[in-house]
This record gives sequence, C-alpha cells and structure tokens, in this order.
Amino acid sequence: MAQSLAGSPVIAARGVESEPWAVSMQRVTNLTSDVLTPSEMWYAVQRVRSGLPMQALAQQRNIRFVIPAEQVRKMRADPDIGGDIGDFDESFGATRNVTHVMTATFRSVTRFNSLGNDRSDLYYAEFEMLDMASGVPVWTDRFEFKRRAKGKVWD
Amino acid sequence: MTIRVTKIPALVLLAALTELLCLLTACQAGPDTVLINHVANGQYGQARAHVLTNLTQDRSDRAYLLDRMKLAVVTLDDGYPEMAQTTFESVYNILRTQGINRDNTVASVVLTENVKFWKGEPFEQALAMIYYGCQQAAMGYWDNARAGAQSSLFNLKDFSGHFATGQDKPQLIDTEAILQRSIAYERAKAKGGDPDTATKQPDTSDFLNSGYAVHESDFVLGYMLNAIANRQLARDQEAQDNFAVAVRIKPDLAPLARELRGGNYNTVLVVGWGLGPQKVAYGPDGSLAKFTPRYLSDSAGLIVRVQAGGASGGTSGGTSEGGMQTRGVYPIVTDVNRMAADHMWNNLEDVRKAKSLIGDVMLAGGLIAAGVGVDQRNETAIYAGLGAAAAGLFLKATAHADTRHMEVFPQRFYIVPLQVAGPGDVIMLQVEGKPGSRLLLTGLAPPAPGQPALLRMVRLVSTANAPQWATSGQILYANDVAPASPGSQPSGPDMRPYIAGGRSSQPPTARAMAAYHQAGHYNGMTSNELANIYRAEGLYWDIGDMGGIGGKHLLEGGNIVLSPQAGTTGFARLFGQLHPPYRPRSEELKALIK
Repeated sequence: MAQSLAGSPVIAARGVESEPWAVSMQRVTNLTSDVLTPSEMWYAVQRVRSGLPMQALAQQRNIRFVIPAEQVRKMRADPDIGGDIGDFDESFGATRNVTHVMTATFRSVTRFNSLGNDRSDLYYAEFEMLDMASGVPVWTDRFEFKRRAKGKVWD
Repeated sequence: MTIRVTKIPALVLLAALTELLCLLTACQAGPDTVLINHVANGQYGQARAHVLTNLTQDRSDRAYLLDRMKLAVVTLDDGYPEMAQTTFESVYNILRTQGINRDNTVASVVLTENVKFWKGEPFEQALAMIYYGCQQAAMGYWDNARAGAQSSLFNLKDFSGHFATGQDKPQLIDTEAILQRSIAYERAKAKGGDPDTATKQPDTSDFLNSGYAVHESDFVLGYMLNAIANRQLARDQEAQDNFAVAVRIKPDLAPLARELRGGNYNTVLVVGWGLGPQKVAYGPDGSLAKFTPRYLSDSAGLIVRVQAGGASGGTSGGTSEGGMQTRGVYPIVTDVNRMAADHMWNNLEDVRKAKSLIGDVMLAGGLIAAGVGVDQRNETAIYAGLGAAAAGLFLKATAHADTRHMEVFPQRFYIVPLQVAGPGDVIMLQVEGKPGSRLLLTGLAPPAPGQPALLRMVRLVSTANAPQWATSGQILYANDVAPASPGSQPSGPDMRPYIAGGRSSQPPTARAMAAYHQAGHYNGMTSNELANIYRAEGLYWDIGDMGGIGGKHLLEGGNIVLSPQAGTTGFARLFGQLHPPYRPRSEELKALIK
C-alpha cells in the first residue's frame, strides 16, 4: 500500500511545502457475506496502514493521519471525559482540519475445492482517499486477505 | 471343570434389562422449564443468570452451542447488544465457518479435528443468524446486520419431489415420511430392483444425502432484515430485490414493505412474542423428532400506538385513544411454528430409526440365545445372549431422538418502522387479542441527523396478564441512557446512588458524580473514590471487566450497573418499577451511607 500510495501521481507531485493534508480514516464498511467484528476489520486496516511510512509522508509530502471522526464522537460522549464534564467538548477534534477522508470497503468471494469440503473465503479491501473539498478520489487501491474454513460435513 | 449353571428366571432377566433401558432413556433431557418460565414472564435478567450458571464448557457436547445460543438470545432480548457480542461471535464461528455445503445448504453436525460440533436444526441456525444480524444493527452496524441476514438465507433440502402429487401426496411431509421413502428406495436397491420405481427419482447412491432438490430459502424475516439493512447502506436495488422476494413469499407484507422502502422512519423495532415450538420424540422407540407448538399460531397483528412527548394529543394522523395515536396494526413476518413444521427446516432422524430397528432384531435374538443357553446349561451361550440383548437395549436407548432444542426463540416476529421524535415519546405495543403482551417502551431517542436508523429488538411478555412494569410507561431511576420521566426525576435525597438508598442507577462516572454534587451530596468526593466503593461491593460497569458476559442488573439483585438500551423490554423492566432497597456489604459503603 505504501508503494501504491507513494506512487500515485497526485501524491508523488507533493513536497514538503505543499498545502498540508489531514487524512481521517472512516469506519470500515463490510460488504462481505460474513459478519466481521469491528476488531477484525480495524486490525486488517491497521496491518495495511502499518506498512505506510508515516514519518516520510509527514516530512516529505506534508500528509498527516488524524484521529477518525468516529473516535472523536465517542470521546465527546464519554461520561468520564466528554463534553459536559471533561475536556473533550464540542470543540475537541475541530482542530484536526480534516482535508481528506480515507474509506475502506471489504468484499468477498467464496470458493470451494473440487471435493466440496474445503472452503476459502477470499476477502479484499478497497481503499479510497477522497478530497473533501471536491469529492474527487485522489487515490484508490485494493488488497486481498484470505480466510479458510475446513471441516468435514456430517448430516 | 464343572460349570455351575443356575437357571436365570426369565422375569428377572427381563426386569434387569428393562431397568437398564429405563436408566438409559432417562438420560434424555426434558425442556428447561425454569428458563422457559423466566422468558415467558419477560425476566430476561433471571434467564441470563440461569443460563450462565448451567453453561457447558465441553465443546463436543451438543449443549455447547445450544447454551451459547440461549445466552446470546436472552441477552439481546434484555436490551444488551454489546454484552451479547462475545457470545454471538462464538455462536457465529461455529455456525458459519464450518459445514457450509457446496450447494449452500447447511449441515447439522460438523466433524472437525475429531470433535463433533452440533449446529442445530436449520431453522434454529437461521434464527440464530437473524438474531446476530439484529444485534449488529442494534449497535449501529448495518453492514454486519446485512451479512447476518444474508447468512440466514442459506438453501434448503427439499424432498417433496419424491412424493406423488394429488391424492397420494401426504398432507405433511415430515421426517417420518422421508424416512419411509428412504427405506423403500434402499430396500428396492438391495433387492436388485429399480429404485426409480420406488421413488420416481434418478438413481443415487445415498438417498438422504443426494436425493433432495436444492430450494431457495423462504425465511421471510431474513429477506426483510436484509432489505432494511441494504436500504440503510443506500444499496437500494438490493433492498428492492429482497423486499420483492419477501412479498412474493408472504403477500400480506406488501404494505409493510412499501413503508420500509419509503424510508420515512428513523427507528425499526423487531418484535418477538411467545415461545417457539417444543421438540418431542415420536415413532418407533421415540426415534423420530418433531416440533409441536407451545404457543399456537394465529394471524393476530401487532397494534402500535405512540404518545408523543409523553403529553396528550400528539402528532397528526391515526386514531387517538387516551392521548395515544394508533400508528397501525402490523402483520406477522415469520411464524416459527410453521417454519419448524416444514421438513425443509428440519434434521433427518433416519439414522436413529435404523439403530432402533437393529436393536429390535438384536434384542429378540439375544433373549432367545440366553434362554437356549440356560436350557442347555451353556454358560457361553447365556452370556453371549445377554450381551447381545444388552447391546440391543443400548442401541434402542441411543436410538431415541435427542429432544434438546432452543426453547427461547419467540413463536413469531413482527417488524415496525417508526419515526421517533424524542426520548419523551412513549410507544405502546400489543398483540391483538393478547392483553398480557402489552408493553410501553420509553426513553427511545432518535438517531443524530445524518445517521442511519436505529434498530431495537423488543421481546414482549408472553403471559396472560401484563406485569405492572410493562405498562407503567415511566422511567423512575436516573440512568446513563435516557432521562427520567418528568415528575419522576430523582432529586434531593433521591439523587444518590441506588446502593446508598437513592434512585440513581448510573455507573460511578464523572458525569454521575457531578449530578450528585449538584444535588448537594458527597461534596469533595471524586468519581474515582465512588468507583472504589462500587468495586468493594463487587459491582461491574465495564463489559471488559466482566469478561464480555454479564449476569443480572444491580436493581434485580445482580452485580452489573450497565443500563440496557432505551426502548427495550429490559429498560422498561428495570426502570419502570421501584425495586427493594439495596443491602450494603462493604464497610466503605456503610461509612458513605452514614
């Protein structure tokens, strides 16, 4: 993903003096045929994100990743630290100045072997980075994950 | 060597073997009447605690998945979708990742790594999936709700093609009818005959595993939830397709489908009533199983009335009764009795009957051999005969159908789309002709602007008379989910924690502490200090600290301080009635009260 992102024309053209980008990750959307827990989806996203050279992107391309909006809302509503009681009020998160949103959508294809007793669910995540001002995608790519389920069937 | 042979009286022999048979058949568990009683009375907290106490840990035990299904269902019925998450995940992992056949039908037992996992009747699997979908939707995850609903729409095995049409076709194609057809088929084969003549079907090596036609699911609730979820994800074409299938299967749902397609609602209620059918053994040696209704099927609709803002009058539209506006009468979406009675939604118990038949032959042969052995003073023959008889009895006992099943599913489901204005709205639900089902939902707030619709799973009480808490329509305790009812808002001495004699059931958060300070209590005390007192009492308010699973609420004598979702039966039961005073256990709390 790092190579794909760095290699996109829009990002390759950016430098340290370019206008700053603040990218917020939206919650992953699951359009597979299976229920995926939030932790499973965020883990998959985090695996992909961990391949990104964050420091290089910040220092060389002036791109930062900021806390997602979903997390901001949770913190504002928290009865221990939220708006009416703590520091995370309505103004919290506003200084993120988000310029771009990154979305991830999971899809799946199910395949069986010729015997019908070994099933593979092929998952792929489609990433897209959108410019919030224009709504235009500045980068898209797709990465695959695999999950196998094996067992003898007995009815 | 002299063999001393004592003539064994035939009656003694028979009595001993019969006693063995009785002991073996006594192992067949009956329904859990304690659990059924709790669920029928809307006491889902008691039901949850009961299931937790008896939770099986042996993964090879048929009850392993059953117990977890029960726990997940009663937890969601009680208004705790987050608390049900861990259990639903383990149920789903067993149901979904193993034993999905190539033709997208489901298996009932899966053997993997030398461990047998029982997965339940197909209709139980489908209902478990739909409950998981509702649980995900209740937490705001419509994408996962869509996946759960899709998972419930697996294909079915239809054997009806083997039965003659017209007058010869049996009225009910049950497992016994299928078994008889299977035996006829295989006997014809064994005699060298043409099995096609017996069954009018192409030759197959194994009737029960390949003699069926794949049939698309007719699970209307699955199609409806799938459609609603797709609508919330702005996948309108897929929503339309699913609504169309649901209406094709059940045409009286057309007006409801139109209302749901229109999108003029911000809340969806999935309402369950009654208790699903009971699994009973029948046939030779009780080797077959069928489902018989606990609550009878009918066509009673669900009456829905709304009192806006808790005041009389209300919004325009509908008829008015006591300040409540009638929103409509909604039809049954799925009748679980009818589902369970359909052979496509059942297991096949032919193996048990075959075992029973073998047992009959061996038993008769064994007693004869033992008798001959006695007559001829042949000890070997006696013991061989007794061994064969015992083996036969054992087989007969094991041939008895296992009647354990999911006792806690509702008998029927309704779906209600609503436009909720604010947490002051009171929503009345009642099944036509069943006054005991009347329930007033409170505290339900609409979603934030731009957010998708909310979903609430609402399980109605299934007794003849509605309990007082179900019809109070009041919120008598301060909580962390919805404001108390006007006129019932705790103040002064009441605005203290329930454990200290007040009417606040909020967890010990900074927000709760600020409210206590404002009421003039515990000045100088921090929320951390209050939290330590709660811990000294053995109380929990974080799902992680509870290992993902919780028992009864503090107000009902339990140890969890988490509030159920507003607009659920659990919320009405906990906060719609006053509870007995709390008895302090720790010295810290006693000092606070002083």
